[in-house]
Amino acid sequence: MKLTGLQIFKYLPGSKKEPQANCKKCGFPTCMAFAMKLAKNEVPIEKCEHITDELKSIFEEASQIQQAEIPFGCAKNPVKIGNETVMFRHDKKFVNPTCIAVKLESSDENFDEKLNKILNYSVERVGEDLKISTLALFDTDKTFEEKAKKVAKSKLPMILVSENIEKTTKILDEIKDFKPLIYIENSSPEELAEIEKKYNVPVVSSGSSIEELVNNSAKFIENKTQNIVLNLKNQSQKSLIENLTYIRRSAIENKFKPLGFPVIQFTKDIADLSQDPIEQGIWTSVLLCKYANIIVLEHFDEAIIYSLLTLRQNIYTDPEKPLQIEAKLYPIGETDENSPVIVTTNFALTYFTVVGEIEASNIPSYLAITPSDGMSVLTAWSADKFNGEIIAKTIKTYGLEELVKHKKLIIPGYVSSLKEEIEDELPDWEVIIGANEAVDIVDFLRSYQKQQLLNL
Amino acid sequence: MFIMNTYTPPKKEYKTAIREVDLNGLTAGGENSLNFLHSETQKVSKPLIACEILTNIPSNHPQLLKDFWGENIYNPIECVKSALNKNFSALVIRFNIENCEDIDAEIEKSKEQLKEILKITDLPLFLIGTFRREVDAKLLPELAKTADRKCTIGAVEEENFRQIAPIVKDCGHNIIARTPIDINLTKQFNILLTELGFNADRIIIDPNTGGLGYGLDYAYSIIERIKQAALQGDTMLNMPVITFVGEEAWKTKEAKSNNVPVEWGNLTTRAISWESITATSMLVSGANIVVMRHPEAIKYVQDFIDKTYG
Ligand code: B12
Ligand code: SF4
Repeated sequence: MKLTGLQIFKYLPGSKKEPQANCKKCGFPTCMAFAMKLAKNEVPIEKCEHITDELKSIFEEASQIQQAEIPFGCAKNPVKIGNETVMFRHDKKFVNPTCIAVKLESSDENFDEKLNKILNYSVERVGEDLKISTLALFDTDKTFEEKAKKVAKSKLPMILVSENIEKTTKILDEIKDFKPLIYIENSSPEELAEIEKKYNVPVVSSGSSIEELVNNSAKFIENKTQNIVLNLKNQSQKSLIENLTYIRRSAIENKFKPLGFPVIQFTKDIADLSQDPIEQGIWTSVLLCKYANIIVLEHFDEAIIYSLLTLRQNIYTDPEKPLQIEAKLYPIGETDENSPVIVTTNFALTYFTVVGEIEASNIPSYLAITPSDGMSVLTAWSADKFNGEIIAKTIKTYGLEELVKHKKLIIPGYVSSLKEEIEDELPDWEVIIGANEAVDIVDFLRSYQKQQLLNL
Repeated sequence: MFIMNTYTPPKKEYKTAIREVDLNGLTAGGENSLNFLHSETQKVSKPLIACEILTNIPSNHPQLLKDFWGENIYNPIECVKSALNKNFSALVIRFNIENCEDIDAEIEKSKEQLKEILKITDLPLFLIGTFRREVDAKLLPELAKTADRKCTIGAVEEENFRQIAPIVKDCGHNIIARTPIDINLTKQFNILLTELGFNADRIIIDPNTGGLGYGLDYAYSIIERIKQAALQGDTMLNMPVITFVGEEAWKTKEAKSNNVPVEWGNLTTRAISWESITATSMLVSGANIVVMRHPEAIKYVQDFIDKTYG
């Protein structure tokens, strides 16, 4: 793991109040300023004349790359994999989200239709557009070249899977500024290194055991090629998680160079795994958590892809910072003085879930978001960040007393116990207890609104 | 250039194992490695799935669950009977008393139901309350006294364990200790329970979880941290971990609604995979027991466990 500025500073003259402290010879006003720059790799370590050998070796050890970062796809907008620095997400945010790829054979009867489906797949979740990262194009007939060019033109990052070196290099000759990941089955590291150097494209190094991968890597490195992605073939379900863990551990904890590369796993290489989409999805979920950087699924099934993209979003969020949204009044739809008023917290997940349901109900509503440190409803309630006082203040500062004439406020069902507390703070208002789960908001709002209109 | 290329598997040796809890016919825990790393552990301990049966079906209960169980779902005894030929390893009976006007009557009813259930099955049983603290403080001790064989009872929380744990202890059952996604609270609570005289080998940790897409990431990381601490020698954190994934997965829109963007795909596939993937991610993070609701999803995850544990 990389050193922080503070960790570096401890070894500089400035922290020990030595005579050379803050001598400015490095071009920075203080040792601390130098340490901060060095931590970001923005200045060479040699700039300080007073560096100790101890710091030098600690720094070199720490800045050694654990897992290479490999970009591929469109030169301008590539997908990146690898560059992970920890085994567990609670130690530090994971870096490059797992690349979820779908397999497509060049001979597929519905090639264009499937390609378009993959290209156009996009789903919004918690304010983020989730898409399929990559297509794995398999060479299954003579249209391979033509199909590869088609995918390259679409700019979707691509993995070319073939047994044929000539066919593959011919494609590479034609799609110059597009860099697919190259997988040529049964070819030697030397041959692959050749291709890597000539076309500047990453190549897959595959083997049936970790030992074989290590031997291959040594050959790649000898041939001055480090633009590689590792692949384990023929894996039993019993050993795969352990093998992938060992590869990642060797890279991260032991800085073992031959395994310091990202890993691609094809679900087809898992023994006894059926074509059933759910079974494939289950294994992919495990690979996503435990150390595959690219996963190639056999089929495209919306429900499975959506589940996996959701899991990926979960695993790759920063565990330190919950996603928050601005605490303010959000009018949803064409609101007027009769629109319902709904209150919830500023946790992004909570907000987006609730907004989606209000929109689906087609009932224009005011959504008042409380400042609750980005916590979910019950978490905020427990932490005293979603209480009568905060809710009352929210209603007042957002001017809702002028905006609507009904003075009714809907709260999440899980905090029904807040009703009295809020009514004490807002004596003119009536608190309505909403549904517990967002999925029931549409029905709840519709019957609520019907009731209101009857009362008018 | 010299390249170091002799590979030795980076095996870890953990001295402390996860405590083995006897569930009455099955054991949970016992491994001294992270889940699925078979060559590091001295004792391979397969994670367990328990199928959850509710004594009260709320009005917004997912249609897919109702479809699967049919009319039986409204009768916990019938539900248990029909669960018996489904190869489950264990059952969770969730006494989710709905009618809180007359708690005492509901508790009486729960006791009768439990007596029936004990008669018709000898699968290991988990007896779970409502997760409403005051109700559970009354209900769980009664269930503990009614169960005439060793069961696992919970969940108790810091707010109500003093009323429940002593009776569970005296009756010889195991206990589920629930804390809200916080490793320090988990440890502190286990210490409190042992100070009360509860044998640490009869405690199961429920660190709380959220469903896939609804807070799952927090549970995932807490479980990983609990396991790291446990294996490295913390004997107040090395109890098996249980997570109630079915409850969380089945309250999401993803598992319930057809009224969604087409990109969400087919409801049945989505719902089954939602519960399955919530479960598998808990298993890879370190859970020993996952509690699930849909028998189809259970079948998928059981098959995964069987194949990965050989
Ligand atoms: C993840 C999580 C955390 C995360 C925080 C995540 C976050 N950013 O908020 C962490 C680990 C930090 C955390 C901390 C704590 N947590 Co917490 N946490 C959870 C967990 C597992 C999931 C919460 C979540 O993300 N839900 C998803 C979001 C979308 O749900 P939501 O906001 O409620 O919104 C839903 C509904 O409420 C509804 N809805 C929302 N708004 C509205 C509005 C209307 C009008 C309607 C109709 C509906 C509606 O729609 C949404 C989807 O259905 C829950 C348990 C659980 N399974 O629910 C416990 C839970 C909420 N936590 C709890 C507690 C006690 C705490 C702590 C106080 C523990 C402690 N002592 O340290 C701390 C408090 C934080 C602090 N002091 O800093 C308790 C609350 C107990 C209670 N019932 O009173 C819970 C329920 C766990 C438990 N069973 O004990 N927690
Ligand atoms: S040259 Fe070295 S000792 Fe001098 S200020 Fe810069 S960091 Fe400090």
